Amino acid sequence: MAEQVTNYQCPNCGGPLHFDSATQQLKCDYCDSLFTPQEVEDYYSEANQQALSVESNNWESETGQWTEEEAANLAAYNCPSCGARLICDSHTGASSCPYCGNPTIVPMQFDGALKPRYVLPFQLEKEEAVRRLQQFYKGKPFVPKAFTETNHIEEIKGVYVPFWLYDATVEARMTYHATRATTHREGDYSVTTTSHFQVARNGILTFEKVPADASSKMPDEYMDAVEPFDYSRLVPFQMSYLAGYMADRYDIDKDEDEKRTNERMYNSTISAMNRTVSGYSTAVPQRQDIRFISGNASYAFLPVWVLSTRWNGKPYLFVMNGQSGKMIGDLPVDNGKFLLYFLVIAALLFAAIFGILSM
Amino acid sequence: MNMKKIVLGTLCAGCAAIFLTADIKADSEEFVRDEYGLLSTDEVQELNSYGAELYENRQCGVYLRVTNDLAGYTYADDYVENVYVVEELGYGDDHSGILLLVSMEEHDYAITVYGSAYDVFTDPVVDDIEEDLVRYLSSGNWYRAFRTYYEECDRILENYTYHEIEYDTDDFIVIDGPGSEPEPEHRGVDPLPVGIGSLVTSLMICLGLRSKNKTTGVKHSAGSYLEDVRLTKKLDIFTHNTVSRVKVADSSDHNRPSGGVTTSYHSSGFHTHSGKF
Repeated sequence: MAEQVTNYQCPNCGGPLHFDSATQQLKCDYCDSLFTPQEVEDYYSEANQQALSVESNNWESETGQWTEEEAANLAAYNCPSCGARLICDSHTGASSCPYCGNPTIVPMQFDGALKPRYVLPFQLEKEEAVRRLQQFYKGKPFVPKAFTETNHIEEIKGVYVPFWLYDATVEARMTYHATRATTHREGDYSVTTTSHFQVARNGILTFEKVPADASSKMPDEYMDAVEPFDYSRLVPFQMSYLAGYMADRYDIDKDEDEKRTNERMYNSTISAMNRTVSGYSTAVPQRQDIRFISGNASYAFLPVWVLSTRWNGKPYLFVMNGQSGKMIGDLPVDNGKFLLYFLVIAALLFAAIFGILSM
Repeated sequence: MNMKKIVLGTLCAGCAAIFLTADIKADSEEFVRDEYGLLSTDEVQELNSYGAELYENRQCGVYLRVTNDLAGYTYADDYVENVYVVEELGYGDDHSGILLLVSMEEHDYAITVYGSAYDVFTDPVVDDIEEDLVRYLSSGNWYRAFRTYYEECDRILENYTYHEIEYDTDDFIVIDGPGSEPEPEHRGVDPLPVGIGSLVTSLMICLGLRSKNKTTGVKHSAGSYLEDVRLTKKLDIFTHNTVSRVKVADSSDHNRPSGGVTTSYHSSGFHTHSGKF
């Protein structure tokens, strides 16, 4: 099976092009020329056809060094710039050559049914990700000092993560037992009159672009927490947006992600319907019938900066929304600091409360 | 000189008359009456003697009545005040005293304070008395409950008489007394609950701060992506009414020992607390 790799080179000087989030154009690393993604796509429509062909990935298994399963998950390409052999994951769609540093793209990963519908271009640069990580450490008293002072970011990657964006129309039929209470005084008695109501609400709810990451490499708890993205900046997919970033094609299909997304929409449907029952003291749902009456999923690439570091032999992963700058990640806890804070706060509280009560 | 003797003699006679009158009244007073039979004869006698002793030494009537029911009254508050008036209880001209009435039919109790006894048995003080009382009454420890009532009254009256201590909420406040400097005296604050409370609060604060270190998590809702909610049916049907009546506490009532307790103040001079045990 022949596989092709493309990298975008400057039509003026031949230098590598990468997507510049500040100008939202492709920029030459050498001569700083700027080109719109469309211009580059047009220019390279022919160049893609001239990309080097390489043999299929089954050569690794023939050597006996790779198992069949391992070999199936690998792909080998030649860099069109320097000719170096690139071995990467079979889902990799965009990467960079470790020898010449040029961005490389595997067009076949985005062909046909695999072609994403949208891409949300990066808005923030790598430097901003580093700066925000330093800010992220602040205001968290239990982060070990040594972690913030001595640890160094091992790797920063701008990654276009494959997402399924689900649109759905949901029909909800809900009934509630609601009450409304009024209280008045009769002599020494407080008299409460409670009116009981049978409440019914039917409704049609529309959800748009509920995201679910379609890459098994990206943990769900990171990709959910890094939301939301501003979809008004989504653009039709063009491969040139990927230049300079990493990208994998999806390996979780839309049916698999749909279960998790439907659960989110189901919960939000109930909350939204509950909010329509107002003016009562209490409203307890009695029957809830939620049906998904239509829906479809769009394949899109959303931008995140992935920062990895290691401390005390343990890896730490941080992810920044490449559009909004929202940073998420789990930080280590200094148990000594935790104990110290706990005891100091307890002692201060004890002294204050005891002092007040003894006055 | 003669005149002086006459005046002194008259004063002494007057004092003796008052003293004797008080003594005679103390002997004739029925401080404890148990119609229901919760107490043995000896116990009644013992408590009655205690009441007489307080009457003489503390110049205050401390009474106990145990009845079968509220004798047709709806509230124990009204009944206890009626008993106090009908039986002409209390010490001296202002009928100063305190009466505990326990009705066994529906486990009601009421304490009323009348006259200058209210200078001593203020609301917070009666609250404290009730606290122990209700605990023992609820557990059926009748004699212990009534004995504690008398002992508490004795202690409070003693403190007031000799140390001129006025009770307020949870603390003693010394008012000016002859020949002694006002000196605050505190009831001990139990450090154990304060310590436990401090540790728990501190732990909650620290766990809250610690949670800032974890910002990842799977989302379970999609509310941010909900574009439109269109209601196709909206129906609210009234079905029925229910009415509940609860006896409420007076607005000045606080520090109650148990639920459902009320306090009423009457212009007649009664200060009454009541409740269930």
